[in-house]
Amino acid sequence: MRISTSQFNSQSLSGINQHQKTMMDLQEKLTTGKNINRPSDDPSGLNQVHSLNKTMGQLDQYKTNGEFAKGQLNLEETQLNTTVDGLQRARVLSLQMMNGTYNESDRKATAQEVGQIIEHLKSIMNSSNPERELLFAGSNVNEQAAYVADFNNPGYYAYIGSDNATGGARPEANFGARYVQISFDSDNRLEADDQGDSSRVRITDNGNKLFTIPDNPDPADNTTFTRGGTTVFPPGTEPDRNILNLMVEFKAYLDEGKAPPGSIASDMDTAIKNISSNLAEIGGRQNRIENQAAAGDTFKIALTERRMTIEDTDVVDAISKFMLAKGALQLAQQMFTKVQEMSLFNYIR
Amino acid sequence: MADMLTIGSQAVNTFKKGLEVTSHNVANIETEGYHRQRAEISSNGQTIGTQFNGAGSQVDSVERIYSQYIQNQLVSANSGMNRYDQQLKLGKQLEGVVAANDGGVQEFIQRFFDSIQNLASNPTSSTTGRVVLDEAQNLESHMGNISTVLKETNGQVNNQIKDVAKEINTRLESLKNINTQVVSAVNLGTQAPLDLMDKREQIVFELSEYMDVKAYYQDNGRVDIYTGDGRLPLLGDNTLTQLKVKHSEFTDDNRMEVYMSISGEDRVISNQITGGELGGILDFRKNMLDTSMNELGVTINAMVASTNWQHYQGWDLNGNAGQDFFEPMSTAAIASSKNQGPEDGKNIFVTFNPNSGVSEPPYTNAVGVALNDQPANYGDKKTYLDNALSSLGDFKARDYLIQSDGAGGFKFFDNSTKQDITADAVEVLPAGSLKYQLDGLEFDFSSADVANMQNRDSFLVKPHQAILNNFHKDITDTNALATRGQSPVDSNNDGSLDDEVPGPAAYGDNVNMANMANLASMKLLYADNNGQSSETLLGGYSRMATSVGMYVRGTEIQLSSQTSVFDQMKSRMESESGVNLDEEAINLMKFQQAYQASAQIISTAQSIFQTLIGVMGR
Repeated sequence: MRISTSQFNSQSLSGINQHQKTMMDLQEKLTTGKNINRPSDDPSGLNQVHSLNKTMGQLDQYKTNGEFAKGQLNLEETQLNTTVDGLQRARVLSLQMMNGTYNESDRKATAQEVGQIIEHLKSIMNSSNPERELLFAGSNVNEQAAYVADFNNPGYYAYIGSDNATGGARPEANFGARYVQISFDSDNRLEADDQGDSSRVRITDNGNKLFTIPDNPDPADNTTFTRGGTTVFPPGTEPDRNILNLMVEFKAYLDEGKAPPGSIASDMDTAIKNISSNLAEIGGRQNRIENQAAAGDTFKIALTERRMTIEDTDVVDAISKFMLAKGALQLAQQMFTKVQEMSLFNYIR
Repeated sequence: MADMLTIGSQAVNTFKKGLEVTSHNVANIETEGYHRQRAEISSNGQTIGTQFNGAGSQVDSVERIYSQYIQNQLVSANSGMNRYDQQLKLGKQLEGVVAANDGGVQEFIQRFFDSIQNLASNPTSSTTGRVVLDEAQNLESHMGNISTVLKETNGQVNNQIKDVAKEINTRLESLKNINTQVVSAVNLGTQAPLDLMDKREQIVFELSEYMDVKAYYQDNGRVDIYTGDGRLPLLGDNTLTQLKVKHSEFTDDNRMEVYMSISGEDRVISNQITGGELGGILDFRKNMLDTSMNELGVTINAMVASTNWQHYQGWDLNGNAGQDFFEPMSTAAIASSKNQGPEDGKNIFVTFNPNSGVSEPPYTNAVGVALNDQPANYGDKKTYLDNALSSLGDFKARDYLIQSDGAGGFKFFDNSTKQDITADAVEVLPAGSLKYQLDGLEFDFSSADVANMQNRDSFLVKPHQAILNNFHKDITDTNALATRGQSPVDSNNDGSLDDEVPGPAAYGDNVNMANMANLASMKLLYADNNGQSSETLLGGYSRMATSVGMYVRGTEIQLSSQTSVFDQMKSRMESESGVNLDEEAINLMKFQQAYQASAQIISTAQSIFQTLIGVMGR
């Protein structure tokens, strides 16, 4: 085949160009550490990287949510533990006061202590989180208090969700739990029905659920509110069965100098059991959050590894290719100068 | 019969010509488009009978070593190569903008939804609410940057089309001049104007760099230039038809098209140009710029619509129904300059209104009969939301061309493919509402001057590009963030909230914000045939980035294959017609020797003559 002189030049030039481009590409991969620096580097790989990034971002967010939820649950747990302590003390007192060895003045003196316990419990039940949201008022976090004066029965207290509450019942306060997402949700929807779903953890409980005393199996064990045996409340609007009212009733008996009926101690027992079982459930939720976070971390490690194989430069491979390209470029440059020297005209004298 | 002296002097002339041609070759070794030349030498005289009739040699003509076939292929390979080269340059430029790997749209969208998750954990905190608004603002600024760059890119494309068309016209002009010269030279004599022809082919070659052309060489020496598909004559019969660059018929769209005047009428020929820089620019605009803008627009439109609709579902901290979070998409049409009716398109609206005529939020606070009142019950409200979200799956990344039939009816076309999609458009009830639902969008002609529209009056709408320009956060007050959902109170205790009157849950409720956060994980886009959406919002973005990447990558591959085709043709051409200095050196020596020998013939003839004179003179 015939070769024209300019073919030598253009061959050398295109060779040098090509090697330089290879080196540029490798240099970029090495300096950024990434195989994919723009979509065209690997369009389908990019799609995977995007979805991996998204999943990892979500895992991070769920972890953040979990941390927040744990803080909230810790706060609730502490407050409930204190409540149980107060109730335990009151229960001991009620058992003591039923004992015939205590006289009227002993009981009146004890009434003072019970009064303090009432104040203590009331302040816990109306406590707020650092955001100044009521802890035990369901989603009615912006009310003045979760437990307000009983409108129908002065001296007693009512949960804001109760019909007895001063200012009228706020029925939504009997629902109202906040759910925080800690893992992927299959239907991506939180219903308004207050039931949550498996991807979310409940971070608030309303006072009605925690502090209302469940009915005893034997109705005779249920305390009948009588203001220490002095008043008969008409059925329908009698004070609610909550721990504050139980204490108020207890105190009323003591104020009267009477021994409290046995139902008060048994109701306190029931209340403590109810709160304790709620505490156990809260512990369970905290465990769930931690397990979920641990699972998320493991998942994330797997995802990170996958992303690395797609996105990150194989440094050894890239460097050896770079060296190869460098050698080839130098060779091409040398070839060019050699070829330039060749001409028959050099020999015509 | 020629004598020695004549033979010698002719031979000297012949080889002098050979030396000249060789020198000419050497001198033009660096000339673009030069084909090496060769002196055609033949012997003079013929032997008749037994007598010697040799009369030396002569140069019949100087020929160039040239193959029309290779030249044509070279020209077409050059068009292909330059097209992909141009596509790649523009593609890489845009790729960095709309689909940057880090800190791109996806990161802003992700951060926006993360902030909503945080607000869902802590719905009453004004600080957390502020972060949501800030993230929305960041996204808005980023979208603003992108849309500015996209607009600039569009302007750049317009300018490039103008510039390239100018280059093409200049070259056509020179071709016309050279054509005239070649034709008259051919008419004059036997020697073809070789260098003029080289120059002309070089111009055709340069022309192919700008657009794909076909050159037809006529017997009389003229060359005719047609568009790449061989249909339209740019230079036929040496009559010049220049390219014109003007706005498309939709003037306000600010889109330049290439026109040619064909039998007195300017016709758009952009689609006929598929090669050269111009072909590359046009392909980039159609298949990358438009596509990526529309795909990005679908994602943003879906994000705006889904966020808004979820927001309408909720109630803010003040107990008011959620209003627009982002400004809802609403765009008007652009009328064709050829329209005969008076409607300028500004009264044709395209919006997202999935429950048109039934329920059109943002809602007021109370149940009522107006379209924007709260629906009768919570179940209905949820159904409207579900319908809205599933409508997002019908979004298609395209522009719409609407044509009036002059009788109150309309035809819809995909503007890029011109596919008729009228069958997909559903008229909103009651009949005659002049509103149509198509691809998840509402096309509203009810305020337009439909009565005076003429048959074939056309309008262009680009709903997905419009949102890129008009992406705007409406909400400014953290108290207006609709964090609360429907009240969980089941008033009739039937175990279902669907029959409840819509009303807010308590102050600290987070259901609506939690659901807004969920939009990030929900598959909302690109429904399959079963109406099942297949992509999340970020997935939609990813899809755009992938198709951008595919385009650039595909172009890269095309470019490298076209380049090797070009190199192949170029080296065949060089191998045939290129100058080789060594060969010329040999020719130089060869002709020099022959020249010296011929001179010797003259001198021999001279000395023979002298001998004869000497004998006679004695």
